[in-house]
Amino acid sequence: MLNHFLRLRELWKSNTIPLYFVSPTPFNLLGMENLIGQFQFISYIDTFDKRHPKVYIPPRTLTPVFNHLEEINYYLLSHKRVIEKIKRDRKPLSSQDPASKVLFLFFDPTIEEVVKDLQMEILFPSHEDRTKHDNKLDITQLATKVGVQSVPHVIAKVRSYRMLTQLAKRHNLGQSLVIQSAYGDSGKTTFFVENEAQYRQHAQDIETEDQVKVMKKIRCLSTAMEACATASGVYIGPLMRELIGIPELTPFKGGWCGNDLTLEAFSPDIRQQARVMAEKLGKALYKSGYRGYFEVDFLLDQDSNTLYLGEVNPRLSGISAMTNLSPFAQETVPLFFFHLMEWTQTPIQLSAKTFNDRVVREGAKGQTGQLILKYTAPDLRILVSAPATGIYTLDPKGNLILKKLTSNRLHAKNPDEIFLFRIMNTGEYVYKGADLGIVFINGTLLSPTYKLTKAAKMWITAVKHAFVFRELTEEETALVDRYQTPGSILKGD
Amino acid sequence: MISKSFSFVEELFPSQKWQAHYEESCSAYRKWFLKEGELNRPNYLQCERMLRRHMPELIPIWEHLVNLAGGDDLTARLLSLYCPTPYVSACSQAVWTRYSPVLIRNYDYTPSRCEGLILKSKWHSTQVIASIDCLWGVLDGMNEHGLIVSLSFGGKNEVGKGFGIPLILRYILEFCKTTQEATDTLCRIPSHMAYNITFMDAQFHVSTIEISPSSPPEISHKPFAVNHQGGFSLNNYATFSKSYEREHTLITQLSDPNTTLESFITAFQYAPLWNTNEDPNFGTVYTAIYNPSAKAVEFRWPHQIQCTQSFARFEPKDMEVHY
Repeated sequence: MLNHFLRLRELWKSNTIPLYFVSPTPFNLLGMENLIGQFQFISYIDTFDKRHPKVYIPPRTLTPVFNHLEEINYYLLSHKRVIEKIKRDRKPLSSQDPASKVLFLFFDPTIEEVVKDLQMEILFPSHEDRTKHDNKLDITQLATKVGVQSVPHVIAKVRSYRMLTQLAKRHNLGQSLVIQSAYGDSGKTTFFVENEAQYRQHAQDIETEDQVKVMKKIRCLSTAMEACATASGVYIGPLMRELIGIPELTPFKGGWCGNDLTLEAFSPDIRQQARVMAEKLGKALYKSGYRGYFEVDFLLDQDSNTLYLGEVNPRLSGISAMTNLSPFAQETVPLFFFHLMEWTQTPIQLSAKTFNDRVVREGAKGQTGQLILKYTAPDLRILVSAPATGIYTLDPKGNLILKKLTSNRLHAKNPDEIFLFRIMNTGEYVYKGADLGIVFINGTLLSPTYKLTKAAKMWITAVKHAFVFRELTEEETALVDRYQTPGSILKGD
Repeated sequence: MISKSFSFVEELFPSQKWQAHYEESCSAYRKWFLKEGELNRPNYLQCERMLRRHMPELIPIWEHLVNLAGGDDLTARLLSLYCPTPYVSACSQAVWTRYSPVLIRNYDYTPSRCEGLILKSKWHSTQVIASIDCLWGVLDGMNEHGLIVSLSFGGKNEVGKGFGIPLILRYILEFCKTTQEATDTLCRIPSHMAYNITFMDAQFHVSTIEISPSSPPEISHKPFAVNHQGGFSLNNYATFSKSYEREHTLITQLSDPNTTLESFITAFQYAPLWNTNEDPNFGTVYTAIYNPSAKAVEFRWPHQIQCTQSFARFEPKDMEVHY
């Protein structure tokens, strides 16, 4: 098997067809540029202060305000310098060579058209297919059909509170309910309803939907896993814990704010359960036309110790860097390689069963984690100082000390080092929920009860201190009135 | 008193002289381009696509100019003049049709924003003398075949998807020979705002076309145009620019048997045709008289300042005029 991994690494290292990750930042595929030949980032945010030779940021005159991630990607791909670069990178190749490839976190039909215009190929199912598989209700039904259990629920049209209580009663969902619509941000389209007053607050949102998913509210822990559906089977990544709604990190109740990958986090039995569920889901997705990388959120019921399907995100995700830079991935191959192989029709010699067996056993070895640090205060401020991307340690007083400027997360090897990936920079306006940076840690972030560890708290305090803000002047406040607040650029689900 | 300089420049293919002109004007143009926010202007890919679709012959010269201007994304989009930031001007134009026809026009705008460049060029196979706008577009001009073009603002506030008119006129002077060809070309290329365009060619065929983003072009053989379209519709702009008053003067002058060419031209130098608005930032910037038989153009300003140029004899010079 070792030989297999080596061969796969060599294969992708010697790739000659340009491959781009077009996204606001390189975050989701961080580190892949070191493993894959001709892999480059086309980014909007200068997270490495122009120090990274494989990150291209087209020069800009102003700072346009975008409403969606897709708009940033569209902006990037329509930029003269980017188009020239794509053409230049293509020059050494002949017209017989395969088209240049491009990957996104999000894209839409406009972007698909531009990509076609530029004679490139998107290594993902079409937007139409992705949207189909992004439907939370359809995925629930698909999962149920292949034996992957969701939290007890019913999918129905809800017209009134009375109807809701009747549904809940008929399906034994209890008094406390969670209601979800087909699409949208899990934070914004998930409603918690225990009584009529709470229902009324969301009645309009719920009743305008053709159908909603009404779930029993359970005491659960959030977990996440990535996997890849290919012609040779479903390959999985390690199961990790999710950090949710930690007030030091995010202003959003229920908002995702990090992950933690350690062997102790789950019993072998739970890992095996997750594996089987991901395999079944992957097979079902593949059969219905979705190929490649996807992410699954599982909910671990604390009362029954049962693993339920939370949701499926048919794309790269906020845990992709964790999956593909894990100690296990370094020893073997990043899961992302299977996606590339599926999409370039490269035969996979490695059996999915053998690989997944090993992932269940060793996938979570070592201790790594990521913290997504958002600006948590309600008022708009301006960043006057932000740490550069690189390796940091702590001084005895708990202050952040720069050890090395680098773009390579893997240069942080020890528990007393972090890799800080800075997103927002000096001079920028920060708003509630803005992504300041991501902290990659070599250690456990969560206690068995999903509370922050002492080390995690220490790092959060130190990193937060390194971001310094000031209040806006009157003039700046007036200027800001014209601007809107963009959402998270990292995960967006 | 406002003073303004005009340059008559000969540079057959864009090089250092155009580049110098670009550098002098670019900061104002960039500011204009970004006035409504960068994302409200089309991106590079759309600009390139639209140029390719509507005026593909201009692509090589566009690319050349973009390179001369530093090659950046914003400049390329600006120079494509596809859906530029909306702007207004005024203008009167008329064709004197007795004996020796000429096209006379007053260009009304903010003097400081007028580029003041009259360029003689031969970018493709045709020589062109034109008053420049938007760095390579045309306000009024003539080519070696005797085709004359002149624009006046159409007075409507509508903005649509299309090109800035100066570039469409440039395209016409580069590639058309007759009023018929010019009219056909104008009618097929979308303009982003409403204009009244007058053409005259060496055979003295005249047409005035009212174009607007929201309605099909209105072709007529009216020998004049001011700043409204169709019949009488009172809008702020027509009132502000005294459009009807100027139209009336043009009609009276053109139909008066006692009017001579010289007295007609002189009328352009006085109110209401010569626009001396109370606003010092807006008024007539110059009078141009194009003669398709002589293939010559005369520019006139107040205080008897004038300058005549032709394809046979073009004299590069700089002039300072006062209003």
